[in-house]
Amino acid sequence: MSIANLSIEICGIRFRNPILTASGTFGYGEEFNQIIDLSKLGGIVTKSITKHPRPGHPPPRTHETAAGMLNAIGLANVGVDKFIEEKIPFLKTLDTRIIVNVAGFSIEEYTYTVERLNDTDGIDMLEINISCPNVGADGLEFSSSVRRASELTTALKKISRYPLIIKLSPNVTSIAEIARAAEEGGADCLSLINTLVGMGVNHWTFKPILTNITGGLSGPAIKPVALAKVWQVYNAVKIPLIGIGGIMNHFDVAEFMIVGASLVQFGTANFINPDCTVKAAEGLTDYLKQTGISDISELIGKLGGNHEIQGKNFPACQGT
Amino acid sequence: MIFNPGVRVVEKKQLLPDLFHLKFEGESLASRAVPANFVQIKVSKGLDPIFRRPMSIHYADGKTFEMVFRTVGRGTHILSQAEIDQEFDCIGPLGNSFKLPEDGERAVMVAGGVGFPPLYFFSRFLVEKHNFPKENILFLLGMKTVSEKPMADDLLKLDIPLEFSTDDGSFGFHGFVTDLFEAHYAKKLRHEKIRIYSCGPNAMMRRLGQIALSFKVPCQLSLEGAMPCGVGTCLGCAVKMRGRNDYYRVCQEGPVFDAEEVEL
Ligand SMILES: Cc1cc2nc3c(=O)[nH]c(=O)nc-3n(C[C@H](O)[C@H](O)[C@H](O)COP(=O)(O)OP(=O)(O)OC[C@H]3O[C@@H](n4cnc5c(N)ncnc54)[C@H](O)[C@@H]3O)c2cc1C
Ligand SMILES: Cc1cc2nc3c(=O)[nH]c(=O)nc-3n(C[C@H](O)[C@H](O)[C@H](O)COP(=O)(O)O)c2cc1C
Repeated sequence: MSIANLSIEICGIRFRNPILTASGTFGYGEEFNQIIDLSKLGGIVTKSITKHPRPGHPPPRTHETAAGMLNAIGLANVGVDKFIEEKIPFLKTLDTRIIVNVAGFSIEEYTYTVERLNDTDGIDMLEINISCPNVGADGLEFSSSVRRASELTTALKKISRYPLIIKLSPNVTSIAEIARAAEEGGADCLSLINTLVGMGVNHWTFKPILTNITGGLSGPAIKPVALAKVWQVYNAVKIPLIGIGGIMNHFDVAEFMIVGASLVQFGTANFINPDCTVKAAEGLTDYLKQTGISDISELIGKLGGNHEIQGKNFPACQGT
Repeated sequence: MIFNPGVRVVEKKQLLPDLFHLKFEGESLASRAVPANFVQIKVSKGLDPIFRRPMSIHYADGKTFEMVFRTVGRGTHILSQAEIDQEFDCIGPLGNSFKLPEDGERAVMVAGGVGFPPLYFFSRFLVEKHNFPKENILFLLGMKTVSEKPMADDLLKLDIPLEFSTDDGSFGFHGFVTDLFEAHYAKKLRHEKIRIYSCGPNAMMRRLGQIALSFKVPCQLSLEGAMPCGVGTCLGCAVKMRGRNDYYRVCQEGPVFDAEEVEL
């Protein structure tokens, strides 16, 4: 059999493979470029960029949990001006797809940043982090109401030069409703999930572990939640999905694709093994060979049964 | 290469009930390590604990490198169970190093407890690699109590001027190591050109930084901090920049900072 096809096309853009890195876990690519070959990845998603630079929250900002971590970094970033001036020139040199993640605290702030990025080349897509409080208005997150998510998507779609990915939060009653609102607002793609709200407490001092008190839970602990959310959203919308949440290896990639994701992002796993994405890309080739699948896109949304493999012996699991 | 998947334990010593010394074979790491560098070591193959643990390099000689650590939680406990020939996955060497003392300067090392490894490495490095006169080093080590003395085994072998403080006065100077430094400063050091190097608990380095700034003495601090990734991308190990509303990453811009750069 010839080498299996790992490439995936969404929104008219072809990715070398379905493996991307998640926002906030890969900086602006510079650090990892020194330790892994970024041209082995489908693409990278940069740390959330805001209109103004943000120093982030005072430490402690992270807390290790069972099979995961809490973070309250506070959207620390260099701001869009410095991003364009200092980070884009480097990102342009990379032989991989570049997705720029944008955050904001009002529709005006998001709009400003997207307009600045419109004037910049070297970007393939924008991912909009909508898990931010709408400070000017009601203080609630854009991600948590159908109306706010829809308003924001519509406003950004109107102006964005680049295809828009709306990144959904799992901290909502019905993620499918928010997904549909974003789709109706014109989103080209959805990514999910962002972190789950959690907290840690010191039982001796009675103090919260994070200065911010609550933080976002990520890592393998959230994978089952993320799989369920991707599956629910897959059944609710027609636009392509990017699966995120606890992905550690190529088997996880396959599982997210089976429940409906076209691409995936590795987040917390980068902190544990900086070469996890490259290894997973290699692993996917083997996996396709083992399952007899010639094109990886055949996995997308195939939950229900792999008739091809019935009766065959699976390779034994070698653990993590 | 920053990835060192098979560093092998070749020596293990238990210095105290909660203090261990491990020597690893791992040339790609050891041959490039300089003082204050650290590694991110994966202590378990599974997810418990999920993250690597940052550990200073206590010494490296080209083929082997060493670490000395206190068991404070799950990760260090697992590491303390390491057996000879067991292999670990290490990322490193990571981080920056100390500035060398200038001509005529005395290098004063101020170590708080198990903060001594980078300063031990640096002292040896100065003597062995830079022909720095031993008598121009002053090493001050602060401990809780006399029973912690085995912590200083390697330091004693260096044969450099070395003094101790204990919190309870059971051995050496009675008080904190920062008090010991101030006593030396009042007596003699204030008449000399000195440069301070320090590593230890945050509270100790905060105090020492204040002292150094008030005496206008150059001082470098090797900091610690919760450090999930160690390669600069999680932004977890933030330390406040002095006088600016922004943060450094201990793992990337550090772990060594000038005292006047940071606010602890
Ligand atoms: C650059 C760097 C170099 C280091 N070098 C050394 C070294 O040479 N020798 C050594 O013994 N340790 C060193 N440390 C500290 C070491 O990394 C921690 O002690 C270790 O990560 C704790 O892991 P654990 O799973 O055992 O404890 P955890 O379960 O993570 O924590 C257990 C308890 O220890 C406390 N704790 C965690 N980290 C620290 C810390 N950094 N300092 C004090 N208390 C802490 C926690 O708050 C908690 O109460 C270094 C840290 C850094 C960042
Ligand atoms: C330290 C850290 C910082 C993060 N920062 C951002 C961010 O700036 N913007 C964003 O959209 N998501 C951010 N995330 C969320 C991740 O992109 C991802 O959605 C989440 O961590 C789940 O994936 P994982 O389990 O693979 O880490 C961050 C996650 C972590 C752990």
